[in-house]
Amino acid sequence: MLRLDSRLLVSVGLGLLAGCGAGPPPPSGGSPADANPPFQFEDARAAAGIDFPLDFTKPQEPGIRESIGHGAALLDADGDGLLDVLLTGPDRVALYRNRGNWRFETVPEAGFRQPGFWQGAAVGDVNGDGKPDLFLSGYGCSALYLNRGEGRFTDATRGSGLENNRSGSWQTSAAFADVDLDGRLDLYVTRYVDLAGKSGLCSYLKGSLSTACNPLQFSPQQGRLYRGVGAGRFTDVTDAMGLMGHHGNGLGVAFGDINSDGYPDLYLANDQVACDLYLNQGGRRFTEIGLTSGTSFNAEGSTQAGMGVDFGDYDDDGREDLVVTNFQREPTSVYHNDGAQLFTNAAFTSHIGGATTGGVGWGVKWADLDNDGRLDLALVNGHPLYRVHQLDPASTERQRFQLFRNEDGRRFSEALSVGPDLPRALSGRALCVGDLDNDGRLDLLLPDIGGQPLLLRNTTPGGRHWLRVRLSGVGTEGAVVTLQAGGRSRIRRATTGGSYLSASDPRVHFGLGELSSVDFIEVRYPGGKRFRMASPAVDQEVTALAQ
Amino acid sequence: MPPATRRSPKRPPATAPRGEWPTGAAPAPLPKRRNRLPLLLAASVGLLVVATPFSVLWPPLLERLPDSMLEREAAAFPRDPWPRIVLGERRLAAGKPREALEQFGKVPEGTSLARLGLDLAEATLASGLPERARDLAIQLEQMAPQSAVRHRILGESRVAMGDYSAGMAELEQAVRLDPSDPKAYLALAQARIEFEGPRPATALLLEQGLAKCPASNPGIRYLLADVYVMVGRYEEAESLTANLDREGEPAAPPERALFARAQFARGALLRRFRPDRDRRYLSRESLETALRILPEYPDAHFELGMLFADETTWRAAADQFEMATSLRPYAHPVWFHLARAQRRLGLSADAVRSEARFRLLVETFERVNSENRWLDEHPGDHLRRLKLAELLLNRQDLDAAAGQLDLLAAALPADPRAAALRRRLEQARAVRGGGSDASPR
Repeated sequence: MLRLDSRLLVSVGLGLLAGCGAGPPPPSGGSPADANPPFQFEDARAAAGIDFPLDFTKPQEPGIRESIGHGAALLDADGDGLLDVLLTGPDRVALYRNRGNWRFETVPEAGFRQPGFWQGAAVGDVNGDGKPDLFLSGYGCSALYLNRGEGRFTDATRGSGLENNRSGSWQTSAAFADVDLDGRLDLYVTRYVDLAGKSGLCSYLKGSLSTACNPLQFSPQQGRLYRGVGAGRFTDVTDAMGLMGHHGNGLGVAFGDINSDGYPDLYLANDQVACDLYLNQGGRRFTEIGLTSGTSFNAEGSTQAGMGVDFGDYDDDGREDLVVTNFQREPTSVYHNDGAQLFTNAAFTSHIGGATTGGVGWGVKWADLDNDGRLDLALVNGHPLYRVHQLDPASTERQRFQLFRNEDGRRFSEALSVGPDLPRALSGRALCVGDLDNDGRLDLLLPDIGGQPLLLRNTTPGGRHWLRVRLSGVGTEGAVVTLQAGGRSRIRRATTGGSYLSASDPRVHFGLGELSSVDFIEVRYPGGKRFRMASPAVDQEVTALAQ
Repeated sequence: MPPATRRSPKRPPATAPRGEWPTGAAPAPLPKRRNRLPLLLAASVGLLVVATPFSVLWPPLLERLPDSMLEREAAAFPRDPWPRIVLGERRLAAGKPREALEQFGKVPEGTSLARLGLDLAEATLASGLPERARDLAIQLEQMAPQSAVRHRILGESRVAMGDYSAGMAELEQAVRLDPSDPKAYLALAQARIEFEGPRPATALLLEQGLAKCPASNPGIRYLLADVYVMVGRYEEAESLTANLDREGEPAAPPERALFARAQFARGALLRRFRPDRDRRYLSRESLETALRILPEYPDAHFELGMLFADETTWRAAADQFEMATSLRPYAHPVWFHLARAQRRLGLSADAVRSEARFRLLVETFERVNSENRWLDEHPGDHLRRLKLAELLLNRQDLDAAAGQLDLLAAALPADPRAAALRRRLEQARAVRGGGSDASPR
């Protein structure tokens, strides 16, 4: 006994000598961006009169269906030159007409069916009348609405070829593009998983927690490509166009042109399976090049929980790059287009990857938020698991949205403060970008599935110059605008698509920084028509007419 | 996988158990040591000093004696087990378990000490004999039922034998019984990482360990830094490894392996988090340090390859990826990036082969996970285990396949299908050169 006790004492003594109590070093300080926030926003939602609260935890514990969230769109529904706001939810679709000066009013006579678990929204002129029409997707529901003007819509779903009457058919994001350049808009609709009649609610922690199941527990559903045949009618051409082999579990979709051949290519952000990049072969067929191009997997070469996606040329090298949001602890993928159908995942070298592992990313858009001439990045986060902190004490359902300033075309810095009480935590899913007050600064709409949406008015100071291009006429979706100024050119795509369950401003916005003059703008419409305008005045919106 | 950590000679377990050997394979008990105190009191002081072992005269001093004096002490008092025990523990701490076993083998026959039993079990485990270590730990149950060390050895043995659920349960018990033992945290955390990948709960476990016994063993901090990197908490990993270059490189292999892991973590975070030229330079330094310590560290080769790829030095990147694929041929991300580098180098045919390998591994990855989960819940489903072993062989995951075949051999010793798979395994190992994947993970 003496021997053992003595040894114990010695060990205690040695332990004390070794010194206990030094915990981990304190975390390092914040980003230099803190000191000089590049962006300024204020939440204008309450004063604007938009009242669209969501609570995905009611009326019952949310399963996978509820966790996927709801969408939004910015569209000039009434043709008054101001973007209106559309929001979707469970058994609710609402249009808020923009009356100017950050005042909105509901349009009860908009004509939307309310019953349905509405999720995604896509905007495009499907009948060539110059007015934006609307496609809504959801769980067991879909709708095509033709715009009659004055913020009123006609339900044209029946007979359109876009019906989704099967109760288990789960349509998520959707995007329009003229994939065969025939002058008529086509539509891609992603589909998620087949719940096979189940709730999508799973038990964790020995039954003490019910929340969303892992999607890998269900069979994937395959998205569909619908070819527009005119007058708001569509034909399913998924098989004929070679799109049946994709991986399913689709959540996000975007069209871009990775090889600048004029034909829109297709990217599908799939959840926990390989993502798909389809190269458009002259409008006749698509070929999947996700693996060989380097865009199917995340920065580490693993499958990712693909959610939102957007194309944009963030380094102004004339080639469209890609961003794909994904799950917590996975870096947001930033695929730099190197040409020759090869991409490099620049998640870490861009500094975006290292700053996005803390949240679950959903909606995402490239947008020049400070008008310095470079595309910044906005993305919204929110954990899909209800009461996730019980499973992971370091996580919360509500997570702050993130804005990244493009520093030099290669690297980004996160703005940790972007206004009073911002960035605020929310259960974010969709994200839309557009200039809601036409002041030359891009605003943001961020629905919250656990509360009221954020309508973020861009108040970034600086007086930088800008130019906005409105494309008038038919067949403008997917047009590419080139702007030449200050000895360099940059391209932007006119599209409402990208992000997640969302549709954004179709107009093309260029920040110009200190440049007060522009050499020219040139618009290349799908199909090859061109429009060129020399020396347009800055700080205004110009209209480009297809010739 | 090298063992996580081994016992420190300066820190015997706080609840050092005592008692008798259980009957069975253990040495037969000797008569209890006679209490020599009355005799010593009667003897002269000089005789006392000369004729009394240190272990009786002043037990703490024994722990501090140099090896040479301990050897003399052991020779002078051959019936005293303690010099040999201390010498063995020192060998064990130095990462020389076989030498430790030699020392323990010289302990007088019939010595009945729980500490010796635990030392034997630990050295046996460290010698790569988990089944024998498990049996020893089980035999010690009566002698040391509440010993945290015994539960840890039992847990580590079971994990090494592929029985993760039972092993992790033992390791959790070890942490509960002695929340200040860093080795229990390390063993449990490593088992969890191997079993389910990096999870926030593992970071939390190590944070608790760091708070309870922070400075006594930097291994927890090293492993936590690696876990932080794996779960994308780069800022916290950077804090933990900020002074790594000023810390001495540990001598014992297990601690060196953890140090290498921390160097890998630092290299990875510097490449991934706010990288610039300076940080990439430091990243390369850390990764090369990790590889100097553990030349066959596939994660470090992979990360170094990624660093070269970031700098578009594709030949160097491909070399590192090839090294990583040779060490861990079942890791699909490496094949993905190897194919990418080969495409940049214009090696299209090689890239196609790498992509085919990548596709196979991706397509079977989730199946391996689900089969493992199933077998964890249904350990008696031998047919599924056979299929899993075959799948693992197809993926070139030889260590995992061997683990499954070991379990099958215990359950179905004469099964011809298992024997055929075992032959395939041996052939594959011969082709690869006989080693395991050598990863610290």
